[in-house]
Amino acid sequence: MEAVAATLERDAQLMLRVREGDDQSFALLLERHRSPVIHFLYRMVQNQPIAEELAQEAFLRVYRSRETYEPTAKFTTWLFRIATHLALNHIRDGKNEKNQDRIDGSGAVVNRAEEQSQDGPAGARQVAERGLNVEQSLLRQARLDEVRTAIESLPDKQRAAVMMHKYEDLDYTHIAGALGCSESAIKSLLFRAYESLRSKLAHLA
Amino acid sequence: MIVNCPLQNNEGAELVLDYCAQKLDPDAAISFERHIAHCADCARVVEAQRSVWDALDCYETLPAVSEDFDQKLWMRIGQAEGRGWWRKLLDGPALGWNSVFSWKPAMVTASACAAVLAVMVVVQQPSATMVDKSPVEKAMIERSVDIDQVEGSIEDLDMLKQLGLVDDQPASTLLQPNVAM
Repeated sequence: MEAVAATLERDAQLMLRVREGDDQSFALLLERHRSPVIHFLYRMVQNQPIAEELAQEAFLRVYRSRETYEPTAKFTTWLFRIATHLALNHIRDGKNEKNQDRIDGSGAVVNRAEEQSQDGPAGARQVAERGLNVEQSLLRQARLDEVRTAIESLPDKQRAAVMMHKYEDLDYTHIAGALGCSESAIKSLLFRAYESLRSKLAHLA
Repeated sequence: MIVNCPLQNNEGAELVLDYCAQKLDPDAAISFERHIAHCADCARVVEAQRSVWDALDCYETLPAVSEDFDQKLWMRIGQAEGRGWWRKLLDGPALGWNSVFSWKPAMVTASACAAVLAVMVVVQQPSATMVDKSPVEKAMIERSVDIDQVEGSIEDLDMLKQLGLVDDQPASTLLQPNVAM
């Protein structure tokens, strides 16, 4: 058993400790994977509060599954599988439709466009655009909007695969595990997704 | 068309994607570069894929994660596991207080408790006249109260005697101990 445990990846070892009741190990796992999971979900649902809510649900599911956890797959694959499942369900439920109003934490109805200007991509963009002149800033904003629109137009699974491949640096095996597909299917899926993006973003070259 | 062009077989997609993502090992990358130097189709796809890859880079900037994310998560875990607040306090040192405990509500609660305590102290404070007296002086005060009562009683008895409602014996003698007995 010890020899097997020694060959396990660090995350799996931490998760096995969580299974034994060590919450400190779960805190370490949270520290390691909090940002990647939230950022992945943010790119999927385009809304930070919802992304964080889904991330909390993902980590909660990980914690509640600790007693039945077996290190048969890489921890990251398992975690992203849960996160992807939650994101796809959320999108499927129609909670992320464009211009959909939502109730924020204070009970006020917030328009999605207004929200993005405050804490969404546009808000983040303002930080990134310091130092640019007005023309550069507008060009960058237009470019970013086109990229976002192109990504949002992808089918859900293709979008999730591109997010994991491009931004989370997961390899084909892990993306396949997260999406419940074969590795060859993922390569084909990714190629089609990038092909679609190439045609939509060709004018940006 | 180039013979053995990777785009014509199943490996092509992976090769193009990995090359543009700079995930190919150096030997494979050099070999593919030699190929695209002579293959217009692959060169075109690679160029387009590179521009997409670069365009996606501008999508990197993300808002910061909320400061209370961990706190909320531990609260949800506590609720889901049916744990009480005391369990969080017990686990606090191990998990790091910041992850389970926020000072902001604690400071507000502490301030409120201090204010209530101060009000209670002011309301329940005894009178200054008694606080400043020594135990002997306090006993004297209590005794003087008793003497006043006795004097009042004697005056009442004398008045009753004058009205003829009691025996003719002086009131002051009623309070003296009966030596004969």
